[in-house]
Parts: sequence; C-alpha cells; structure tokens
Amino acid sequence: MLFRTSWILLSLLVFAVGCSKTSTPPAGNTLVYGRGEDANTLDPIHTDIGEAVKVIVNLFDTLVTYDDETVELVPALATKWSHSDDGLTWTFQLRDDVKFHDGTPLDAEAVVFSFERLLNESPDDVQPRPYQPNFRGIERVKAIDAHTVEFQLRSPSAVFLQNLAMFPASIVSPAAVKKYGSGFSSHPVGSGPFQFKAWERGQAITLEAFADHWRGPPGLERVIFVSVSENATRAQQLRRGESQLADDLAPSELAMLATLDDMTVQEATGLNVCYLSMQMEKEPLKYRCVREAIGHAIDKHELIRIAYGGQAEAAVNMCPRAMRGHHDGIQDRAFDVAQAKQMLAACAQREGFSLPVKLTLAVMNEPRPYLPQPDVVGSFIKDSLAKIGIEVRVEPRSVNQHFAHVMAGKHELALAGWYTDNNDIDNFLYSLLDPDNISEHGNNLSHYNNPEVHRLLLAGQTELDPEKRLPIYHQAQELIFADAPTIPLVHARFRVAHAARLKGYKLHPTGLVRLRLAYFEEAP
Amino acid sequence: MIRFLLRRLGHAAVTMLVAAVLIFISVRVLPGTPLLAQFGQHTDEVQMARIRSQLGYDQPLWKQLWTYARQVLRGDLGESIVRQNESVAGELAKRIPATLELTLAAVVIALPLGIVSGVAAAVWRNRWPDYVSMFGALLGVSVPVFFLGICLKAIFTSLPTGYRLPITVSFESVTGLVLVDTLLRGRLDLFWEGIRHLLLPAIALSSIPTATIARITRSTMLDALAADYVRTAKAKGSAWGRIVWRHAFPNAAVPVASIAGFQVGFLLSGAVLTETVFDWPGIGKWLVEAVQNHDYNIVQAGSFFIAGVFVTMNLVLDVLYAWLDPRIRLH
Repeated sequence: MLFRTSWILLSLLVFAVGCSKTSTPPAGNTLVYGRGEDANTLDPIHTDIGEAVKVIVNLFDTLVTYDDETVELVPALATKWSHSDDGLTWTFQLRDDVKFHDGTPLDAEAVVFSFERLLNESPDDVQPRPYQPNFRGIERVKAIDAHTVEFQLRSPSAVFLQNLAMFPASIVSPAAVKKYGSGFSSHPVGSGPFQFKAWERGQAITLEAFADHWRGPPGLERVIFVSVSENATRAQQLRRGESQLADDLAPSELAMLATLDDMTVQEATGLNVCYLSMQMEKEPLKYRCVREAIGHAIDKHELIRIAYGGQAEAAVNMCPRAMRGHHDGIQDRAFDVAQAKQMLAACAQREGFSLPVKLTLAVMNEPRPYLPQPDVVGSFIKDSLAKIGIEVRVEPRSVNQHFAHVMAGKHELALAGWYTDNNDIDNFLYSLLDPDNISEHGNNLSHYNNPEVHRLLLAGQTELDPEKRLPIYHQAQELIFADAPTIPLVHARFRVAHAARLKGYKLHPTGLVRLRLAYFEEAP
Repeated sequence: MIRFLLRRLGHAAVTMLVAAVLIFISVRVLPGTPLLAQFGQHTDEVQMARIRSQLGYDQPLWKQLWTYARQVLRGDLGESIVRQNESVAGELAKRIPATLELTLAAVVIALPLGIVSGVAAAVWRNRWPDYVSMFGALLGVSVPVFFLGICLKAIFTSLPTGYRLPITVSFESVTGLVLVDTLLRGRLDLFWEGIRHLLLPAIALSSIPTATIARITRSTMLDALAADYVRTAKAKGSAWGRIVWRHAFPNAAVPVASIAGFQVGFLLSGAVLTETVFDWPGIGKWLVEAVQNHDYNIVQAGSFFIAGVFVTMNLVLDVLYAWLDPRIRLH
C-alpha cells in the first residue's frame, strides 16, 4: 500500500509541477538562438570554431563586408579604397562616425592596432591564430590621418580585399584590449550591431542591441545564443517557443517543422564541397586510370538522395558552383559501373596489379556541415566500389584524429571537405590542390602535385584583374579534372528553422549568421 | 581507532597520488593534442610548434608532470587550453554545485522510493506489489538513462527540457545551489522554476539508484522478516506496521545505507549522460567536452575531483563500518 501511495504522490507532484504556468516567455524583442555547442572564445583572431564565429560577426565590423544577400563585397567601415598600379599599396578611407561599444571612436589608429594585434604575437603567446597565415602578405599597416589607412603588401594579392571581409580582420577596440588583456576573449568590444552583455560558460551568450551602430540600431533588442546539445531538444524548444531559431537540425525534424504554420524553414546552398581524397602516393591510386574508374563508379545523385535527404548538389569541381571562377563547362564522368569495372580491369593488366584491390577509407565519426552523415557516405562508397572490384575497409576516427591522419597523408581513400573562408576560388583550389600545401598539416590531402596547376594557381593569386583571373582558374580546373586527384562529391545545402514571426533574417550564402536585419513581426 | 584512521588516511592519500599520475599520463598518451582541436583544418606549423613548446608539450612526460605538480601545489589549476580565459578552478567551483544539486535531488527521490518499494516487495513477497516493484527495478536498471531522459522530455512536454533556470532569467548565485539561492533571496517564483527544471533530470538520474536500493532493501528485508525476533514480535501481538518498520527495517537498513552511500559517490562523479541530455551545466558534461578537445587541464582537475569523491566516500564508509563493527578496527 505504502508503495502505491508513494507512486501516486510522485505522479501527482510531477503532474502539479508540469501543469503550472510555463516559464515566463522572453521579452517580445529577444531572440533565443539554439545551437549545438558553446563558443570557445569571442576574440576574432583566436578561433577557427564555427560556434564562436556566429557570435563574433554580430559583435564586430570589418573594413569591407558582403552584401546582405550576395557574396559581393560592399563598403563597411571603409567607405572607399584604391590600390597602387603595382598592387602593393592599398589605401582605405574610413567612416568618421563609428564608435566602439565602449564609446571610444573607431579611427585609423584602431585599424592599425587591430591588424598589428593579428599579425604580431608575443613569443610567449599560447593562443592560436588560425587565420594569421591569410594575412602574412601584409608587410605594414599605417595610419595616414585619422580616417585613412594604408596597407603595404609584400606582393600583389588578388584575395587581399576578400580577406579583409573575414572575421579575423575584425576591428577591435584598442582601449578594451588594453583594459582586459587576455580577458578580451570573454569581454569582447567591437563596433558591431550588437554588444556583449554576458556569458555563462557552456550555456548562453547574451548580446544587446548597440543603439549607436553606424547603420542604425538593429531590429532586435537582445540575442541569446543558447547551447543545447541534443538536436531533438533544440527542435522541441523551437516548437514550444522557448527559442525562436535553431540550427543544425536533423532532416526529419526540419521536415516536421516545415509543416507548421508558425515556423519557417530556410535553406541555402553553402559555399562548400565534400570530396573523396585519393592519396596519390599510394599503390595503386597513383595510376590515373584507377582514380578515373572510381570516379565512374559513384552515383552522386543516389548518394545525395540517401545521405543528404536530397539537400545537396552534385559536385563536378572542387569549388562551389556559385563561386566566381567555377568552370561550368566541364562535363562530369558518367556514372557507369560496367565502364568503371572494365577500366579498372584494363588498368590492372597494364600496370601489373592484381584484382580485387584492397583499400582503406578514412571517415570522421562526427558530422560536418558538408557531411551530415559521414558513416552513410562511407558505406555508400564502400558498396559502390565493391561493384567494380575494389574492397574498401572503412576506418572511422574522431574529427580531430581524422584530420591529423589525412593531413599527414597516411590514408588511402578519405572523406573530407572544405567550406569557404573568404569566398575566393583561390581559397579552395590553392588550399586543397596546390603542392605548397603538401606537408604534415597540409590540406592537399591527395598529395596532388602538378607543376602546371601550381603555376596557374600562383598566377591567379597575383592577378588583380578579375576578368583575367577567370581563364587562369578555368584552365586549372580542366587540368585538375583530367588528373582526378579527388572525386568531388557534393555541395551541401544548409538549413535553419525559425519562428515565422521572425522576419528580416536571410541565410547568407557564406553561412555567416548576421542578425542585424532580423526583427519580430507583431503577433496579429 | 586513531591508528586505524591514520592508516586509512594514508591509504587514501597514496590512492589519490597514483590516480593523479595515471590521469596525467593517460590524457597525454591518447592520440591527438589540444592544438589540433583549436586549429581545425587551418593548421599553421610555425605557430603550432611555438605553442607546443610554450605549453611544454615537447618536454618528456616526467618533466611535464613535475611542472604541473609544482603548479598545482602552488594552488593553481591553470586555465582551459581550448576555452580561452576560463579558469579551471573557477569553473570547477561553479560546476560542482550544479552536479551536487542534481545528485541530492536524485537521492531525495531514490531513497524513499527505493526503500518503500523494496519493503513492500518483501512484505508482500510473490504477490503483486513484489512483481510490480521488481519489474520496475528491472526497468530502472536496464533502460538506458539517455533514452529515459528523451522519453521524459517527450512525455512531460510542459516541463523545461534543460538548464537550471529559464535562460532569460539572470540570477546572481550565492552558494551555487539554485534551490538554496532562490530561497535566500526570497525569490519564490524562481525557487519553483528551479524545481521544475530539476524534476526531469533528477527522475532520470534516480532510475538506477532507485532500482538498486529497492532490490537490496527487498533482500535484506526478507532476511529480517524471517528472523526470530520478528516471530517473537508477532507472537506477542505487535501491530504489523510496527513489526515491519520498528523491528525488521532498522536491522535491514545497514547494508542499504552503505549501498546508498556508494550510489551517492557514483552520482556525484558526474551524471554524464543525464547532464548531456538535459544540458545540465555540471561536472560530467564539462569533462566529456574537455576529453573530446584534449583540454588537459580540465580533464586532470575534473577526473581528480571524481577520484577524490570516490576515495572520500570509501574512507567514510570504512570508518563508519569500523565504528559499527569492532572486529574490523581490531584487525
């Protein structure tokens, strides 16, 4: 009897507490943004972690930035700019009405300070600067007057302006950096549309509108980035109104949310690529005919249906289709198992290796933005290659382990991917396929080394005329396609769900979460 | 007794020392380094080499251990390597109360529920209360906690799904225990919110200890109920409730107490799964993230804390036994 009574009492308690008024809803103008993890730092120069970047881009401004909807560069803190004929000296004219969140003015000295801070670390500094290499071409930054800045480059660079729009090039308040020292990473002060309010580590980061922003106050009063580890819980909280936006949701949850009237699901094709790397120093992947046969054996459309729920585009080249310089004229290798099998057999006979070929396939065991289900893609490739006489053994590793393994070139086959840093084609082709990036920690995973491609990619870096760059990159893509050092698989779409009354927020092709224009529509 | 205590304390200290060294070495021999987690695909060998040598990771293990030991003896647990500007000691101090509060809540549920259902099962042996409570206990130990957590969230949809208080509430803590702090500040509304937030994670976390306690209680109660003094009590006409609770139960309670004590240590060591499912900002979740990132300083401090909880719990139980049973302390 006692036993039963206690159960009844407990269920009554649960019921009573459960039925009481739900928690006070946030003030009408607060956006609660649910995401999977917390940031590791809010200092723009010290991170490579996406969850940190989501917050940073709302706190800071850059000299130039992307248009609200496209990847075109538009003026931001700099109103106009010009460069000398040799491309070595760039001069930027700054706005004169910009203030940091701490009230100090943003002037040329602050710009010089920010870049010197990015480029010159003290020898005992233990914080990483993952993007510093992108800016090492800057020899000197100088304030000409209060609102004019001059950059001296070591060599002409076609991507210099693109790099200035990246978050590591954010302009920080010198006064705040001096005040907080290394604590700046948890007391960030910039000039962006939102200012930092509070950070409960591992839980929530609160930002508040910065009324004095040079573009006018943002549409939201408060933004709270909440880390919620379970996908399902993020979706549940969105439905219940505990949050108004959630990212990184599973396809099934997005499909369910899309059916609700008060929810909006947005999608955009990301500037990314997921590809199969083939380590060209390994037997028999060093033979082009083997790599080509693999290219013919994978049905990318079926892969998209099975592993991406249809939310991706088949890739032909190693740069995103939407990116300037992408070669639209290249026809992908046809999916043809019989042909692939025949090619492999002929190749084996000619080069003198025996069938079946045994290969390992390195995959990561956690999802990436371009690869939401690595295990499914891994099995798909294993099954596809089995049909042409290649026995694949899938080797899963944690993300960090995986990249350490493949960057060192220890793999045979590997799944990998890349998403845009600065929206320039150089950032894909040079990083992923140039011999300069073959090393212990290099991103040329296939160890692809074609001197002609190398020459073209270097030429593309220093050619300042956008029109003249196009044929250079087209030619490089043709050579790369013919050599097949990798099989580009897909360009993944990314999606978010949010309350339908949240307006003005559009997914940006870069994937940057810029909340300046977001606002809540009055409930009818 | 003093000699016994000193000897046990000595054992505990040695255990802790060995644990500390083992933890230190094992996080470092795991493949990977904290630098890989931070640089991701944007590795830069120049910087990585410099940072590696700054942090001393290029030194032999014994030397790193020596440096770390000296640092800890100065009372400095260091900073997180990956989460910049996060003091390990400060974060530990914030997370222990969160885990403690969850643990205590789970115990508050598990102890009475486990004991009552265990006693009921013993008293009505092989009748329906026995079947129901033992079936419940079987479920309790065999349903994975994360699955139970997800089910609870799906069933009790009006209860919060995570965190200790609503995320839009800013509340200055005193002791770090939400239920205590809200009362200290006279915020009854937030106290109520705190309970609502605590309820589901506490129920999920209590499932295994409730089941364990119920089973132990049942078997010790069966022994007690079969004892001569119970027959005597029955013979002299004592009320049935009095026989169960005054005569049998105190005798059955000693093993239950020791099991419950052990369970508390087990719960305190970070309810990793429960904390993850309910985004509870405690030790367990913190430690799991740190292991993934190879954040050495956090893993060392957190694991050492857990080792400390277990060793302390063991010590307390040993001393308690010795106090209860003279045969042990004479050995």
